[in-house]
Amino acid sequence: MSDVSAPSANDAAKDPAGHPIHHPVDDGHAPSPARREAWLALSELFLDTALDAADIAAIARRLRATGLPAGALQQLYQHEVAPVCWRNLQAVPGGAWAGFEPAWLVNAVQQHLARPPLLHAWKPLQHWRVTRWTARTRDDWLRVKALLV
Amino acid sequence: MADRVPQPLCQFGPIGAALLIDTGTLNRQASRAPGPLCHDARQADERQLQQALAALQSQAELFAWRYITDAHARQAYVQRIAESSRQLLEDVRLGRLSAEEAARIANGARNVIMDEVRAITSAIGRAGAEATKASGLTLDMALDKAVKKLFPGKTLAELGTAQKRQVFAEVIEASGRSSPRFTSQVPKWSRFGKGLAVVTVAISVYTIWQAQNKLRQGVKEGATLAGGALGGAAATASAGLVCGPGAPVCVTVLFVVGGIAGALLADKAAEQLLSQRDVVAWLGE
Repeated sequence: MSDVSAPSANDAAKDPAGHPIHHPVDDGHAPSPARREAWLALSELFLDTALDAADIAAIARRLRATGLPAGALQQLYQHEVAPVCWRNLQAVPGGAWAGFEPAWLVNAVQQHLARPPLLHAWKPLQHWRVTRWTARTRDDWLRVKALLV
Repeated sequence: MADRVPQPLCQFGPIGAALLIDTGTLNRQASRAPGPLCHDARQADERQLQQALAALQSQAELFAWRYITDAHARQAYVQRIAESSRQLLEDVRLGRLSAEEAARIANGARNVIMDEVRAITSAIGRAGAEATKASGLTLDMALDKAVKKLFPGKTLAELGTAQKRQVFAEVIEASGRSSPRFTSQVPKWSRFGKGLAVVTVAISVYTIWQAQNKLRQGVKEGATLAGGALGGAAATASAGLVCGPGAPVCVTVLFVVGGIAGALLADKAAEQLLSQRDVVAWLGE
């Protein structure tokens, strides 16, 4: 197994068709600390709360501390965290608001990576899914992203 | 009386496979169920189409109700958590509670309100909420998060009294905040639900208006919509047993199947009832 604890260019890698390359070494195994921390920080975008400037800055600080490049964080946001957390902003009357339980989140992301949704390699469907998953958090993600550079 | 030319009286069934009904004792066909002698297959198709449309209409009614209910639930939830947070901050300001105590209460109060309001949400909405299985943070985790937000690089123990009060206040305020992007959808759900309900009622009114016997059609429309609602309610009641917690897709399928089954059964029952001799006479047919 290769070492995934250090951020690498592979984190932002895409295949020739433009699909994000998942990290098979993480599937079913413990993720690297940087990756786990990025999942937890990104999941805060999906909480049922209003994120003020201080919240956005706090998320950006946590993400910067992981050392992962912005491209990799974008991939983690769209393809790993959003698929498991987006429902929280659809839950009636409301979903988790203070934070996701870390063990649950890590397990959910790993399960998603191990069993991706049907036809996930089909680009138009994947694009539609990502659009749907990130619909209610995209603006906040852009605010975070602006602080990453 | 002149003899008629020998020929079948009539035929029924699809062309090519039609059963010929003849006079006399040579007919060895099994007797048909009581009903019009020359029943056309097209009538059966039309009847099935009407049933399908009625089931669809009852589904629209159920989904209209679902959207209206969930919009109301979200609105009530947002108002109650904001009010709870405001009240706790007021109690701290007036010295009725310590900031730490109020933060502890705030952390639990929102989850209690969520559970209470869930009781009035639709089964689909409830299943979606359970699907996230996202248990709330403990007070310590919530405090840690507030410290990271307000005083990056420090721990709660390193903070002074005034700074700790700020952290506790942040936890209390956070318990009253909700996602504005989520809440902004509520008026759309409400409008969509009400619009769907209006369309459903309008279709029923139009169908009754067009019918030859308006009383008969009115009874049928009412029975179908009521049957759909009862079927949906029964499916909702059994959702936990059949699907288990947090299975929104299963609950949605159960909801749809229950509603359609209820509508079709009610339609069939209404048809049977309206075919009774006494009822037919009462309807003036």
